[in-house]
Amino acid sequence: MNSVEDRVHAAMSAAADLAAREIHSAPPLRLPSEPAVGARHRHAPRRWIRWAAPLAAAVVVVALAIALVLIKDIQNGRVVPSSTAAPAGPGGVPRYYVALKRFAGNVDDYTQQNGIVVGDSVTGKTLATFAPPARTTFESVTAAADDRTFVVFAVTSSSGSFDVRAKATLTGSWYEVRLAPGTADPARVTLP
Amino acid sequence: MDFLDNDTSLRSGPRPKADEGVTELYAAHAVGLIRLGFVMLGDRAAAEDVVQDAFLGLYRHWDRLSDPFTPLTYVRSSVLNGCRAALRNRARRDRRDRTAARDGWPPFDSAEAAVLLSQEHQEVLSAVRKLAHRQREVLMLRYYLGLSTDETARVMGISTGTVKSATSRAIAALGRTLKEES
Repeated sequence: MNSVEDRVHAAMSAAADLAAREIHSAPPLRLPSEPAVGARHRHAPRRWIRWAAPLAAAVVVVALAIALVLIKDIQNGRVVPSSTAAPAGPGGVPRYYVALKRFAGNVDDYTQQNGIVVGDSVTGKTLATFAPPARTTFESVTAAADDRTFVVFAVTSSSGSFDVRAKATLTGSWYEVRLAPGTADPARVTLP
Repeated sequence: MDFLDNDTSLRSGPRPKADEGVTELYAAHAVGLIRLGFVMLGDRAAAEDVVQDAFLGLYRHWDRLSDPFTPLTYVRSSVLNGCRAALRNRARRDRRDRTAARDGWPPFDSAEAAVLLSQEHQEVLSAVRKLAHRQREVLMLRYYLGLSTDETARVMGISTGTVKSATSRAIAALGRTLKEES
């Protein structure tokens, strides 16, 4: 038996014969039409490219910042003037708040349902409490600048379980909470 | 010393211009390098592309080449790198397309190869194909191109000691594989 090296030699030689039978010539060499440039000329554009990319990124960031300032000015300065905001409570805390409160179920088995509580931060009184719809839990609250309008995000489960790994279908929806303190109906929840 | 290489068929003396030097080197070595690429890739068109890219790279880097990194060493190294990249891309594409792993080595599992190559040669080449890429490349350079340890080290950009150890490990791995298959 030949050594492994001899066998490799023989196999490589056979492979070379096979390649030689297959390939007799090379296609024409395709060189670029312009002559090869020296290192000095080649480096100049590369240096330019190196700082052009960060510069372009900086320009984009500045443009974005300016655009954001302009948009912010339009939305908050004109559409929702600050003068319409409700008077703040003690320490600048908004007078009225909307919070989530456990209503039923258990967090451990993903069945907990949260309701909504509307309160007065000055008097500490609860103005209204809302139970969640069937198989629904309120998940988050967002307040508008006027301290009278709140938006609540709710999730409804087809099975009543809010476990994302379960096969239940979860559907999100938004509710609007409008406050009218001092009236017979101090808080009203509607689907926007 | 020859500028292009120690191949005596090539001119000696001062460095030629890029287009002249590259064209001359291509005429002398392109076919051999395409055959090397063909053996490694099993695809003639892919091998021609790899060799074309290697010579294009040489043309672009011509002014920056310095001895002992001769032009022929440069293109051999480029062809080796190009083949490695092509094999890597092919493996990635096979994984993405969920293509079954290739059992054979394309040029050597064809009907023509079955006629020209003995069963023994096909077994050895198949075992070479299964080696780690560095071991496979060392064997290709040492046993297919017939390069010395020093030349192989220059082409692969590794030390001669690493070439020797990779060769030794490759032969040992081949011995084990061939023994298992026999």
